Amino acid sequence: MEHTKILQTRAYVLCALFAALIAVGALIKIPVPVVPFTLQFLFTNLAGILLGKKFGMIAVGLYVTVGLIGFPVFAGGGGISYVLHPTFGYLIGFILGAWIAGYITERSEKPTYRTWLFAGLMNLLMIYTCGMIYYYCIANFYLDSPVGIVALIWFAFVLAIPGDILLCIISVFLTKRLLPITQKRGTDK
Amino acid sequence: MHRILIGRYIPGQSILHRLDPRSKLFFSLFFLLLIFQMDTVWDVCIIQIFLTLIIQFSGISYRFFWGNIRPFFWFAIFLALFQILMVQEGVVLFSVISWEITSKGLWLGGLLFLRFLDMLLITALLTLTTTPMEITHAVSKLLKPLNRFHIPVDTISFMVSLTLRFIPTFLDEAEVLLKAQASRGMDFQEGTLIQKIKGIASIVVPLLIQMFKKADTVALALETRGFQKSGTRSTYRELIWKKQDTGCMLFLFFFYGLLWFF
Repeated sequence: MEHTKILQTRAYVLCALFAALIAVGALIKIPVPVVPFTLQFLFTNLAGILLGKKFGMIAVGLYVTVGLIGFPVFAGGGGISYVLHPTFGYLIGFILGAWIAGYITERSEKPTYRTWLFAGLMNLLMIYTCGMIYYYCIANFYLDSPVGIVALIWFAFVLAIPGDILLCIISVFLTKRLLPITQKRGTDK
Repeated sequence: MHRILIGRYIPGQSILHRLDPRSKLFFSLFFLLLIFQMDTVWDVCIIQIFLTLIIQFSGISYRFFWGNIRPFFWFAIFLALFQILMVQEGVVLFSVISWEITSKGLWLGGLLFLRFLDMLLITALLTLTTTPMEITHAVSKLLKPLNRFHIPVDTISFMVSLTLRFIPTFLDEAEVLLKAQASRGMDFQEGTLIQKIKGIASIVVPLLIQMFKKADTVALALETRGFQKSGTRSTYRELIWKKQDTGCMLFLFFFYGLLWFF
């Protein structure tokens, strides 16, 4: 009884700290040629895989909440008005994607490289679907500056995906190295 | 990296600093609503004048406001230009190559730009004059009624403050790690894909391990102090609703009436 209580407190603390890490990830820019990327996706993906679907989603959701309250933790600032920003859909995608990544990892009995890669790719798919639908809606119905579907797919998907797939592969290797540590310390699911 | 201080609070003694965070929160939400509603020349003028006045009252240098706007600035200009070029109604003012710049396009583009700018200014005003703790506290006070729908507002606000507390810590740590790896000759620009992956891992793995360790310590510290998820939380500083806050709310209504009237 007491033990589970401690584990529960620990799980919530873990979520909060992971959210802080995601915020930091959004600020660290890795200067890789062609597409400089941030570590944000890496951390949201790891949140889903390492913490599981429930706590992974809470961690990412917390990050979004902190940004919406008004702290500049998003890539372009923060505040409640960010909801109307065309790229807010990606943030919704981060939340749902972390859930999917956690769900896929939890479902398999013995997760392997392949499971984690699949989890990461599904996570990416979720993020991009949400992001593009949202972008399309905001641009067409709110900003009244219509964008074509082809242009949208080109700018919001083709140009951005290589860096994210790289991060996906990196997160597989990281999971392999980090899982022993998390399992030893144990999250209660 | 330290320039991105989270919730850049600038201490001061202005009326904006002294207001209750709840009324400031109300104020900024209400103002956002106004900004989305403004669509006549009068609205725009009154709101711009008013904004300039409260920025002046806050006693904070314009430099800090610019810092908040800068990341968005080019995006807003781009959107506005796009709008100007796309709208082909109204009187044609002049044409650039084959594009006709119309009066309506110019107006709508300008409006979009101002909306973006005002939105950022209002958000900046809140975070510059209120400490992160106060904002979290105010939000949790305002969302209190949600407790009835089994949404654990207290827990969420506790987690939010915990997150805010640890962002600077992790930023520092990431900076140290980046420097440590750089001094050992790591270079993200060069090298094969495998080397790059190793490079990123050498920063992320220690960060995450540190995080798990810290989580253990914090959880234990909370437990020893009798932390309960479902208990009622008390605070060191209570929020007090003062006369000036009521005044601020009254003023908002007056202001809304003024805009509505025109």
